Amino acid sequence: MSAKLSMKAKVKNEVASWDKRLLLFFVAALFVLFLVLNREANTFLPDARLYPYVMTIMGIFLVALSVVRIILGREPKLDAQSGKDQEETEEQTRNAYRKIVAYMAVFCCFYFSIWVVGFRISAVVFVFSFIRYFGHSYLRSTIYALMGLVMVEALSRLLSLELPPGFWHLLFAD
Amino acid sequence: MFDSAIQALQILTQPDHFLFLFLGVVVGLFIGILPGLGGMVGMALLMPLTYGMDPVSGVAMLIGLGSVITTSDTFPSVLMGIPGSSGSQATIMDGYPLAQKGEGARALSAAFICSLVGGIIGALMLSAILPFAVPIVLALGTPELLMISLLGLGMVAVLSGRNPVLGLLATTMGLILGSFGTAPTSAVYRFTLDTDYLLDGVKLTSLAIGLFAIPEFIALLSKGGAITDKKTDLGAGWMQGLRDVMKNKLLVVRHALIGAGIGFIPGLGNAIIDWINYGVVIRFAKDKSQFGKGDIRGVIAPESANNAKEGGALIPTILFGIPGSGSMALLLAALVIMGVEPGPDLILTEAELVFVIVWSIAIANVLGAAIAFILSGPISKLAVIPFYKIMPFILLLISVGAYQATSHIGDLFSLLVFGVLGCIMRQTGIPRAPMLIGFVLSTPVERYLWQVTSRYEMEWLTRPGVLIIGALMVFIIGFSLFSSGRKTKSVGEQE
Repeated sequence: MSAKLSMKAKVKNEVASWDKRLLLFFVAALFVLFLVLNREANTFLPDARLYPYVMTIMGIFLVALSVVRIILGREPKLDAQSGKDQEETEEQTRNAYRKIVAYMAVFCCFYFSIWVVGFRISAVVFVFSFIRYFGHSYLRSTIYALMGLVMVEALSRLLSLELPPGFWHLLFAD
Repeated sequence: MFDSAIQALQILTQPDHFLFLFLGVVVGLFIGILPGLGGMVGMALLMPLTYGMDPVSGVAMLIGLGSVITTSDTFPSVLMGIPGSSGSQATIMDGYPLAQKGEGARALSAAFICSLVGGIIGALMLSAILPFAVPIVLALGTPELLMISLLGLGMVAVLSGRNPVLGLLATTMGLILGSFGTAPTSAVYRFTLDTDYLLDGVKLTSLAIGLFAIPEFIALLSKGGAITDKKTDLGAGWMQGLRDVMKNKLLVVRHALIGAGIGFIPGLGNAIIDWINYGVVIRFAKDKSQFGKGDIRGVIAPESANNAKEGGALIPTILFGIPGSGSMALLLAALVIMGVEPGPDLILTEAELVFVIVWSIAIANVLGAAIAFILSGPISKLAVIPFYKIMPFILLLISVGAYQATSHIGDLFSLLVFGVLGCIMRQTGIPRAPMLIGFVLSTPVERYLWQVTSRYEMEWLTRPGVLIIGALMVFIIGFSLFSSGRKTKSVGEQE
């Protein structure tokens, strides 16, 4: 029983330490950002300076307070919002992080491709690849991709929106 | 006031406006049933569509969506034991055991009726308070408005997460982000990173969708392709649920009033309201033995409260322009997009629009409950659709929505940046709603600050209203920091 409990505590700490490292890294990045913004706020005219100046100072103070609390272990071990199972193992935690990073990368590629080849082509390729990745046939993936294209076209017309044609479009410009 | 209410009903029931209300209800029911996606994601999805829209239609659509999410989120909670949104967590405690006994329909039936009654009580409470609010609003000066804004921000910051310091940090991030672009007090461009895109500041649609929708998508995808592999068996007891509500009608009213009352407090989200009501119903029950095993009162109490909360949450949003939750912040932002200036003047200048909001809540709850009853079979099956099949389409939809803000590629890149930021915040437990609310309130707070400092210099700090609100703010933030420190210490000692 006690061995089981200590295992649980170990896993809990492991999960927390992953988040803790990420939190520390994030807070450190915020610290640098607030410092830079504070320096820039000093250059604004008086009427426009007060608010950003005060806010960045407050940000720096809160970041410093957060760092102290994280180091002292006063941050919550697990957050309810993230909905993580307390009993997940170390390997599962690592896998969860890997998956999050992988999906983020997929999303990054999608938006980068919009910039390069335009919205429509990116949308079709994205939907096709995504559905295909989850094990569906070429035919079904193509149907999904076409449905995506129809939806994008419909939205574009309904909202009278000129979707981004992509960087490559410039190659064909006069 | 009465005339405005009648006129508002006439306007809302015009076919074009009613159609948008209906659209909001349908989308809200759909979002509510998908576990993991809540009101914020729903609002973020529909908000881009409000560009150039008539305020009545836009408001009806968004309120319709927000009002019924807590109706349909009962499906996954009762049938699968998975919360459809944060507002239906406590419903699982007794709803799921009922479904396991083959009485899922009884729990759903009771929940829908309670949601309907709760929603209407919330709307009634909102409309009852409005006439009394006008003199209060008129008595407030700019210094008091500044302090009320700061009080709202402080409360949201310390109450919406488990760590008040991180909540305050998130709020500050939002306030700073809101200062990007042209200063509201002078023609100075700030933090534009030397790009044209940021001259008008950060776009709210990209921020809201990025912070709330993308992290939820990634979280749902990371959990696996299918949301759940459980079956959704409705079971029996539709009429029994109705009889249960009739038998416990005072309970329904009591918890609807509690829900609306707590909804008024900025920062207390659906999840907290749900659990408070579940705790209260157990506390005052004579026979506590069946709670957690399938006691219908455990479904009635939270379901009455979570729909009533919407009416309560709208009180500070409408009267003072202080959004108490992320979805209320989006509603305020949508009003700005549609050309309506939210804030204390709204009730004085746009009384009909305010009553459109009240009517929308009431009608949306009726529509939502009716649709949930009639289409319960097919709706319950939606909850088991694998998320990967829906996600690409929702991503395309939100991308088009974000791009609509300025039709600049920067909209999509900022969506991505805020999506990554949202993922980090979600993972590290930094609450995201305070950041959004800070962003929305950034401009009014800066404007108020500039007005009070240029008009009153430091004298405004000695006004009685300012001192009272300031003391309340210091007490709430100080108490939260103190109790958070104690809690952490006691957890540390236990470990």
